[in-house]
Amino acid sequence: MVSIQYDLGHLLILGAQLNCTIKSLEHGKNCNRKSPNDTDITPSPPRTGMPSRMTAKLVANNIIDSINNKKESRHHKGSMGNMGAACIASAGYGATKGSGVSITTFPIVPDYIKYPDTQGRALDRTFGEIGLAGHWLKLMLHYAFIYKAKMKPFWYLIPE
Amino acid sequence: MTKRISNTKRFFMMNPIVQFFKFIYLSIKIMFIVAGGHGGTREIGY
Repeated sequence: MVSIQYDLGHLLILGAQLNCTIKSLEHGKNCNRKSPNDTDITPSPPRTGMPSRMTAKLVANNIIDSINNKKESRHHKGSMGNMGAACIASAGYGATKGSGVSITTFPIVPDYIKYPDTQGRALDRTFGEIGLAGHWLKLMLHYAFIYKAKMKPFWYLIPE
Repeated sequence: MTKRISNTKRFFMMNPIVQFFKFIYLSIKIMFIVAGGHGGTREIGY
């Protein structure tokens, strides 16, 4: 029970840090945004897919450090303003007749300072492609992630 | 109603030979975007 509370505590801290990072990246130094009705406006970080895996990895590494050093550690950090994400959506089925859309975005949280002319995104790393290749890619990732989840040999070499 | 995907575009979309090379290209490109810099956890500068 203690370990569960410990994990949740770290997750909450990281979530709050991410929220603050997102807000400060989007709107300068303002970390307390409210609507005219005094309702808190708090954009939340993605909870699925690759960004959530990176979050979990950082939290796990911090917990490991904290246990090993016997004091709280937040050495491992990540920013969604410096992280890319990919999405592959099926648009058909069949190995020869199927179709899929591959979409990437970089960074996940728009950085208007680094990329002021492109709505905060790096255009060379933000793209969308449709075709049979996307379908094969989705199939490949399906098997790759199952392999990784089963922790078979060299599973850690497969990226998130 | 106008055709949203042209015949030429559809040919390239469904051609297995073209798409095979695109598959390799996209695999590498997506891996670099997503996994580059240890997934964005290195050199974050804060």
